[in-house]
This record gives sequence, structure tokens and C-alpha cells, in this order.
Amino acid sequence: MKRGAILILVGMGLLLIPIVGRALWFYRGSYQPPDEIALPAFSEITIPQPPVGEARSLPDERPAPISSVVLVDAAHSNRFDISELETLTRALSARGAAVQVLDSNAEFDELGLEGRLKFVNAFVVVAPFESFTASEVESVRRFVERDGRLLVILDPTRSSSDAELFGFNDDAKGGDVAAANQLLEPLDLAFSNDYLYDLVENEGNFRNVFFEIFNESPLTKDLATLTMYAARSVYTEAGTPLVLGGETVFSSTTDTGGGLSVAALSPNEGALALGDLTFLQPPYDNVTDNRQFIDNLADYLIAGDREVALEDLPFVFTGPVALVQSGDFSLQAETLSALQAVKGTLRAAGIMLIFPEEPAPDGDRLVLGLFEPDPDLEDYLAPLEITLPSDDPDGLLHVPGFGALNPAGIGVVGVVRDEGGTTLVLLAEDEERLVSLLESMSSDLLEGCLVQGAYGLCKVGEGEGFGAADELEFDLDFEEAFSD
Amino acid sequence: MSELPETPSEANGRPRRRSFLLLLLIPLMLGIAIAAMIPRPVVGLIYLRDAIQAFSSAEMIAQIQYARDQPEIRAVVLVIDSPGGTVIDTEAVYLELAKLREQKPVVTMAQGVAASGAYYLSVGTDYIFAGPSSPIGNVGVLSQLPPAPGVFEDTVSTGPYKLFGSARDAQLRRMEAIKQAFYQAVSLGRGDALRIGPETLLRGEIWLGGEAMRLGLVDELGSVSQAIQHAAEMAQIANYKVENLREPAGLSSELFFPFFMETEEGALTPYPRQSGLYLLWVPPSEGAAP
Repeated sequence: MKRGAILILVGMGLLLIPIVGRALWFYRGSYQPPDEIALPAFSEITIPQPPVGEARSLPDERPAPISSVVLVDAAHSNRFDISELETLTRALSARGAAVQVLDSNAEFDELGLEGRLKFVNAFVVVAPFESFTASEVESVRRFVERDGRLLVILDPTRSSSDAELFGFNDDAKGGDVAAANQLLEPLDLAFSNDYLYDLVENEGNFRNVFFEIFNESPLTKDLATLTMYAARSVYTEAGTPLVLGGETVFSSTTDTGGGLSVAALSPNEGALALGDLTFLQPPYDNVTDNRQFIDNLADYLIAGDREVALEDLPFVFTGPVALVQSGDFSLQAETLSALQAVKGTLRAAGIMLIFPEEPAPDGDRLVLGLFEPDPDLEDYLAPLEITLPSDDPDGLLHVPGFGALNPAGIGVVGVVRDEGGTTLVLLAEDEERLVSLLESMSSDLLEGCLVQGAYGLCKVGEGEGFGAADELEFDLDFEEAFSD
Repeated sequence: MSELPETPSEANGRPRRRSFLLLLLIPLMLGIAIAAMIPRPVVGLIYLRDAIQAFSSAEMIAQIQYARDQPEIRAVVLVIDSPGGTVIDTEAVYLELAKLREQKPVVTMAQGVAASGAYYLSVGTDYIFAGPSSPIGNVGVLSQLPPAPGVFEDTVSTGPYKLFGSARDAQLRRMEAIKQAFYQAVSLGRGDALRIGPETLLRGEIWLGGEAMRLGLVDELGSVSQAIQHAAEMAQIANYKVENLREPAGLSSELFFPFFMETEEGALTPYPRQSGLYLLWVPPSEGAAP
């Protein structure tokens, strides 16, 4: 019995040796998988929807139609469609502003930028990809200097096309920054060739950035949060950075952040550089306080207290111009011929000259008068502060900025603008000289005259006054006046 | 010496001894026969050398399922050289890997690129090796936005988004949700090893292997054989054999399915042929602006 048991044990051992041996040869233990293979909570991931701002409010009182003009640039290979500015143009219209487009292809724009800037309140440039000429840059600089408003909008999404992503050279890359900075650098503003992003707190995507830091300005009135959808940063040395990102808003060029501005005002507050276009478009215009900002932009564009100046002829007028004949003189054939020429000049600029039976209380006017006492003429001269020789004890003509003048051979032009419209007054000694003055206006828009701001003096015949400049008491140096 | 005649007891003892030896041999032979049935363990290799798309993901899933079903396959090494691919196909493979890991260790060897979707798969394995200069990371999502909704003369639909599926803005937000899932996958997969936060990780950067190791995106720099050895150690096996699972899983030789766009000259570009949602790295290509 004992021997049998031994045999069984030996047999078992012999059976197991190869099995255990092979098993141990290959397997040294058993794999212990992790207790739990954790997976992302796919079904629980939600992305917050955009915070919707309050509906915007229209101005309390609707202003008179077409009280100001905003010119939008489409003549510099601008990569945008005017419909993309619809929220802004609607806000401008609600404020009585007309929006015009500067199109290099249109016959109407033969005047070019300089001509069109003559009487617009604001100039809006969006994503330009064509350089501005030196004279255009200078025109814009002077426009801003004279209280015109400039808004330059870039958007990094317009700067590089999918063609570039897909491996083809895109010569336009960064071209918008170079073109825009041509205009802005004389005004102490500059765009960076970057885009802003925020990986920590954003509006659905890293390039959709919240801005909650604002410097005080009418442009930042009632703003708590703005959201920009891919925006360039803007730099100014002495101007005002208006809308600033927090510490987590980074620039793509440096991957660092803090204090980056997406909108900045020039030192004289006449120019605004804005790094995003997308926020103007639905549905993004309704996110956070974007609507309020669009309203503020519209207010800013029409708020420029643009002084009316004769050098802006014929765009001192914004609507039809009614001819007002003052004084006791009857129109001669030569006068009618000269008026016909003026009408043609105005029509070329899209302005109609009309001949009403009775002068309207409001609207744009062209007033013709002589240096003679006339109660009707006084109403027009009073805001111009021109004193006629008949009202001066020495028989001199007094024109602001030019002092006292001998009226012989002089034609005077003055322009004034009030809520009712623009009034351009042409005065001369007699009808013959008035015709000469009209011809000067129609032929070269008073280029041959001495123009200073709202006043101009033209030589319209023989006489001592204008011919003997050293006898005149000018407040302004001649060279300076002509250099304007 | 003359032979002595056998005693009766001796004559009886010989067959007994034979019987005894036979009794010992039978269990031994039986043991050897049974031992032979114990399979030699296998470390399976699954290669991903293409973009992750419908065909490549289907092939990967077939190999993963085969590895799961075969008991002798004790560990799997995923050898990756891929810029990623579609979101859907990446997630499909990722979920299959998770199922496999419940039974067997899976180790990644980032032999070439393990970017975007390919890195998504990597973090769904138990251990990641990378080559010293293998491009790693690129965590994020890529998509083309659908066109703005419109109406067309001859193509009509029953809803504003029937044609393109979503508004442009919704697509952007959907991408963000996918990005969050990707980030969760990285967080869960790398755990405490990850030494960078979301603000760095989600920038979508590519790091070289050495850098990626320093940042905790991979565990170790090494080669395929090191990855195999590590997988075997995790599975606690020795004297294993290494097998490419492609053929055993019933897949034919590698086929080429067009995923990337071609130039007019027939050269491949790094851009997918179709628009969609991608976990894909698009490396800079010739002619692209810096």
C-alpha cells in the first residue's frame, strides 16, 4: 500500500514536471490589469453657449436724415464685403449718417481719396491689401487733424487664405498690417501682425477672446465684457489703449500676454484702430456687450466736430443746394452762364443745384450777394461775422482771419454750417465781379483764391485791395495760408 | 567468469522493472504532451503607419479584437508613425484599445510621428515609448467650417442645416467639445506623469521625443524591442515570440487608401481630401508661408 502511494506520487510528479516546467519557462506570473480603464466622459462634455448681450438701444431722438457722411474704403483691395459692416452701417443710419463707398472702379471716384475726404465726417478702412500712396496718407492725416474720424479695422482671418495653409504662397500675408500701418503710424497707432488668443477662458474657441479691461472713453461707455473673434493687437505710444486683454490673453507672435489691446485711440482721439471685424457680424454682434460697442463706434464716427472749410468744396454740401439771390440785382446772361458752370461742377460731385422760388428755411444754400446793405443778406452774414463796407465807418470790408480790406476788386467767399445745413456765401462789389467769383468757383474750386478755413478772398477785377497785399491787415501769413 | 543461471526471483524481477519504468514513463509522456499544449506566449505587434481613417482604423480594430480573443497573445505593442486622422476613427480605435487593456497590457512605441489622433491612441495604452526625435503631441482638433446656410436653385432641403449639418458657430463649439474629450483622455492616460497643464498642452504644439518625455507626454525613450520587452514584463512572460498581428488577424497585405490630397503632379500633400473634423497634424509643407 505504501509502495503504491509512492508510485502514484512519483507518477504525478513526472506528469507535472514538464507542465510546470513549460509553464514557468513562459509565464512568470499573471497580468493584473488596472482596476478601471478610465475613459473621457464623452457624454458629459458640454461647451457653454455664448453669453448674449442686451438688445441695443437706438438713439432717443432720430436725427434729421443725412446729417453726416461716413466714407468706407473699397479702393485698396479691401478683403471684405460692405454687407459685413451692416450692423455698423445700420447704427450709423439710425443716427442720420449716410454711408458712401470709395470705389476705385467707379467713375464717381475720379476725385480719389483726397477729393472724397473733403467732406465726410468719418473714413472707415477695413482690411486693405493695397498700399496707400504718400498723398493719400497725408490726406488722411490732415483729415484726422481737422477733426475727421478714422476707423481702421483689420482681422487676422482676412490676412491668410486657405491657399496659404494648403501650401501655396500667399503674397498677401501680413499685407493688411503693412497697408493699415501706413495710415496709422503718423497717428501713433500700429497693428501687430499677430492674433490674440486665450487658452484659459474663451468664448468657445481659443481665438475667441473676452475683454474686460477698458480705459475710459465714450467708446467704452456701458461696456462690461467684449468678445472678439480672432483679433489683432494694436499698439500706441501716446494714445489710449481702449480695450485690453487680461493676463491669459496672449499674442501669437510672442505667446505671452498681459496688457494687449485690441482697440486703441490716437492721441487726438481722431483715429481708432480696431483688430477684429467678425464681432460686427451676426450672431457675434449679439454676444456680451458687442452691440453696445457697435453703437459706441457709430456715435464715435459721427461725433467728429468737423469744421467746415472752403478747401473741402464741393463736399461742403451734403444734399441739394438751393440758390439764394440776395440784394437788388437782376441776373444777367453772364451770371446765368456762370451759374450753369457751377451747377456742372456740383453735379460732377453728385450734388444738385436747384433754383427755388422761395428760399427754404433749412437745407444747403448758395447765397449770392453784393457789398450793399441788404436785410436778407444780414441773416446769412451774421454767423459768418463778415462786415460789409457799407456797415463800416471807413468803408472797409472785414473778413474774420483777414482783417480789414479795401473791397475794390475783391470777391469774398464764406461758408458756415449749422443744424439746418451748409450756407456758402459769395460776395462781390457788383454783378460783373460776382460772375468772376462764380467762374473761379466752377473752374478750379477757388484754387486761385486765398483760402483760410471757412473764408476765401479772390481777385475778381481791378482794384487796390487785393492787388496791394501789403496794404492789407492779414492775420495770417500768405505762405502759410497757401501751404494749406 | 562463467554465467550463473538466473534464480527464479531474478527472472520475475525484470518484467517488474520494465513495468515500473513504464509506469514512470507514462505520466512523464502525458505531462510532456500536456505541457506541449501550453502555448508559447506572444507579444503582438500592431502597426499604424498611415493616417487614421476608415480603412486603417478598421484594420487596427480587427487586430485589436484578434489580440483580445487569442489567449497566447499576452501583450500588444502599438507601433505608431501617424499624424492622426479623423475624429470618429480615432475614437473608435481608442475605445477598442481600452477594451483590450482590460485583459492585456498595451504598450505604444512612437517610432515616427505620434501626433494628434495618433497621440490620442498612445495615451489610451499602458506605457509610451518614443524615439528621441519622434514628433509627439499636437493635442487639438482641426476642421473646416461649413459654408453659411443658404438656399440654392436646384438643391432643396428640409431644414436650414440639412445640407451642411450645422451652423459655422456650432461647428466651432463642437470642435471645442472634442478638444475637451481629447484633453480628458490625455489627463486620464498620463495621470500624475503629465507635467504640463492644459494651457500648455492645448496649444497644439509638437514636441520631440526627449522634450515630450521631460514634459510627461511619454514614459521612456527607446526602440521597438524595448517596447516589446516592456510589454512582456508587464504581462509577466518570458521566452515569448513576437508576431505581427496583421496576417493572423486575416488582413491582406497593406493597402493604400487615398486620404491626403494630391498635387496636380501627383505628389501627396499633408492635407486631407475631404473636409471634416480631424485630430490631425498638418506639418509645414514646401511652398507654405512660414
